[in-house]
Amino acid sequence: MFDVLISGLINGNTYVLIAIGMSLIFGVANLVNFAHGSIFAIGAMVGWWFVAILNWPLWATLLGTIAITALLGLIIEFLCVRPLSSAPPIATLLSTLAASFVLDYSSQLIFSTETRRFPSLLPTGNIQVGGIHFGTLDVTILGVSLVSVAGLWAFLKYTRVGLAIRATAQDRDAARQMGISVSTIQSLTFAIASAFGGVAGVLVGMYYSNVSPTNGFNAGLEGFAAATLGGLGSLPGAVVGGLALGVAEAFGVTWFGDAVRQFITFAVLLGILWFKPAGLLGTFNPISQEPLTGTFFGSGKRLRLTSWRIAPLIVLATVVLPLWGGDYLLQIGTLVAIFAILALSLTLISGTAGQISLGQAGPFAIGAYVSALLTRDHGWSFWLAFPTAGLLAAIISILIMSPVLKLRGHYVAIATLGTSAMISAALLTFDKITYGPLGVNNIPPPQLFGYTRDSPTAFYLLCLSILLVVIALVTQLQRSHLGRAWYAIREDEIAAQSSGVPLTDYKSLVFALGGLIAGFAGSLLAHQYTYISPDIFDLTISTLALTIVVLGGMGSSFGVIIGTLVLVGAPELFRPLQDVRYLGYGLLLLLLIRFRPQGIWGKQ
Amino acid sequence: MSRTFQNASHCHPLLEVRDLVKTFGAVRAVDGVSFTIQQGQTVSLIGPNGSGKTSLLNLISGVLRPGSGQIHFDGERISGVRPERIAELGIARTFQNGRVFGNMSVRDNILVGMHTHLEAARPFASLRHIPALRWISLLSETAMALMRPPHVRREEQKLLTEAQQQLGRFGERLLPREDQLAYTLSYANRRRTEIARGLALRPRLLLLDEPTAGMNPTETAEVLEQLQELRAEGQTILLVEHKLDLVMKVSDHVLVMDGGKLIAQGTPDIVQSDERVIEAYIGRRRSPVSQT
Repeated sequence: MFDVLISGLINGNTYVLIAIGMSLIFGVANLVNFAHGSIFAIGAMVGWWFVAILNWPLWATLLGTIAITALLGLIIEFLCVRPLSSAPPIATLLSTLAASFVLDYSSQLIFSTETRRFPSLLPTGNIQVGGIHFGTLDVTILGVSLVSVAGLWAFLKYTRVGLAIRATAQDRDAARQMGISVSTIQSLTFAIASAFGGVAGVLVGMYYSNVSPTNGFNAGLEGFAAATLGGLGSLPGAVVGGLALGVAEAFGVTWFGDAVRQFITFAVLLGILWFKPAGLLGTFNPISQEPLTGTFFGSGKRLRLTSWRIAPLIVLATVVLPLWGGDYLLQIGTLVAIFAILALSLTLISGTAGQISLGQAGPFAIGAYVSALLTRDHGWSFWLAFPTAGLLAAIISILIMSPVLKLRGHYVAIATLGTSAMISAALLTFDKITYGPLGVNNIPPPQLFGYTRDSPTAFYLLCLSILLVVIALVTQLQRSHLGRAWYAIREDEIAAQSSGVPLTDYKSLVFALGGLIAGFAGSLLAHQYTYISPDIFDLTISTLALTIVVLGGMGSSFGVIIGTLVLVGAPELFRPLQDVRYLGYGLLLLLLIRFRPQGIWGKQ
Repeated sequence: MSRTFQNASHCHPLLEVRDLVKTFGAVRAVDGVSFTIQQGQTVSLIGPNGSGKTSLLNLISGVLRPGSGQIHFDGERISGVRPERIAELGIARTFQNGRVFGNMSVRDNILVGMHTHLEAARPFASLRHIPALRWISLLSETAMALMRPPHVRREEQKLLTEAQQQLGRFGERLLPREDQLAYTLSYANRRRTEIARGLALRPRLLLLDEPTAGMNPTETAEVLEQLQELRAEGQTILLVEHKLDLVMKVSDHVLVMDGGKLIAQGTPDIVQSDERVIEAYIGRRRSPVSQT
């Protein structure tokens, strides 16, 4: 029992180091730095390189890692955050998300995705006090993190620069008036926070004695859950939150096995957002939050579509492709249609109602699993399973999301991320129903029009017609009084409320409709792939959907088609580019947010 | 002493604020404020910057929740109620710094203001405030939005005509620009759009937070004219304003705040000559010594 507590505290220590960086950045720059987890993973890989390849001692490894991760922090601040200082918060949120993609996939190209053994520099289990075994390694990890946290505390409390950082966190404008160079302080904060992330990477690498460039994002989420638990922006909160999360995970894993680790993390994250969004030690002021998207996405005028412009496209998609396209092109066409449907759910949620969803993979996964399991294991017909998939996706996501919808801005975006991560963790954990990591195979193709079985043309036409129906639904909704109310919520939640627009009701409704559409897309995907597993529905899918919508111009149904053709259709045609595909998504998203936020389809 | 100035009206007040307190940390932004507004009155709220006027407006419109005290609107308790519900009951507001929906056309801004009047488009209104059952209302709203039956379309047409009327209130200022996105408008026209959006709700009480801020004398005079028109129509108004000559011209009753407290109230004439008001608002008179 005591052993579990100790290991939880030591594990929690590393969360503390990640959470402190996130909280520091949140406090000073008022943004959630999604790239922070990537910095952590790169810290671990760089540390591994110093130790295993260059044979550096521990102190040099730590110093070298600090130098490199601090530099990366400076670069992220300079490229992704500073140019967007006057843009709405969503811009920096998306740009750090894009940066995390670029960092993660660059690191995977450099170090390859395999898991490496981190040489144990220090003995484990060589000390015994009162019946508990632990090693110099544990003591060192504890020592390094205690010294770092105490050092940071003293730095913030007693130095002039620390005072300037605290002043900037309190009030940027007032700090600027007092002659503090806020941009320098912000750079410095990113450097310090990233150095902490790097150190955490090395320590975690040593503790688990293996490292991989792929676990950055989850580590980032864990750090983020810890920071939210303690109270975003509060440093004591980060310490308390990190330790508490570490202990909770340790006990959870002891009692229920390793599979529940992620589930616990996201349950904690969502639980705190549900019941006490300010965190254990934080303060929360719901009124000062600005509208999240603002004029950012709307600044371009949309091109008016005339029927003679659409007609040739429809002819191409409905007649030319099925008749002369061939199976391969038809399969790509089917995928484009499915992902366009998925992205259309975001056209409603983000483009229309202005809520940023980083978790469309969640309802997408539910739709796929429901449809797959009902048709394969329970003998349902596709025509019954398809609507059930959409409905269940909508209901489950709304049940998880609804307590959070009274919050604004960042918190909603984070809750969507937590929701989809939790759904993904649940798919892995409840393997009695979902078959866990094995996934579901042999998903039967739908019986189409009585006789057609397994014909790519028929399935393509089915997906295409569902896509057209969904476009019609989305367009009709956007033109209605609901669309007008959603636009008002996107523009200014408080002004909309004061005009009598029921805020949480309409937010719930848009997430439900978005969940329904994503669930439909998931059902189609399951029958197209015939095999699904939890790892298909990770964050890359959510980000892909968001990138499609940003690329096509938020809120435009037709832009979604263009976006999907570019991001899903083109990469399928160029298979050799597969490896750099996600790197490309990240870079594209980064460039779009910086230079063309209204999307390619919007006119300036 | 403030009680003595109160209108001796015996009918039941439209708005009644009692012992209202709102604190932000150690700051008592609104500190035990009580007053009433009668049907058809134009009441002005004045006071130095930071005296708690906007906080008071935020409390009445539900954007802030009071620490303690009560607000009753037409006999119904509205303190702690959500802003959209208060809007439904008939309180509309404008904001100090102007909050139009920038990327929506002027017409759509006004139509959002009419949201509470939608009936055909929002069926099962009685279920709207019941947890879980509200989904019946929400889903039928979605169905109406998708199918647009004739009676929904007729209602939409009716609202469009009404929106034109609201815009017409501002003469040629807004009507020619009704298709323009609000962020392209001039500052004064954005403020007009916001007032028109507030009026579109057909409020029983209109809260105006410095409607003439940043306007030149001609534009201010225009607003004064419109306020007087509204007053003649019997519109009840609570006006926060710094331009005292405007306040003196339109108000039936003036409330004066300083440091979160209501320091005086009464008719414009009485308030204007109140020593404490002058001191709080314009500043302390120089002492005889410094005058020499």
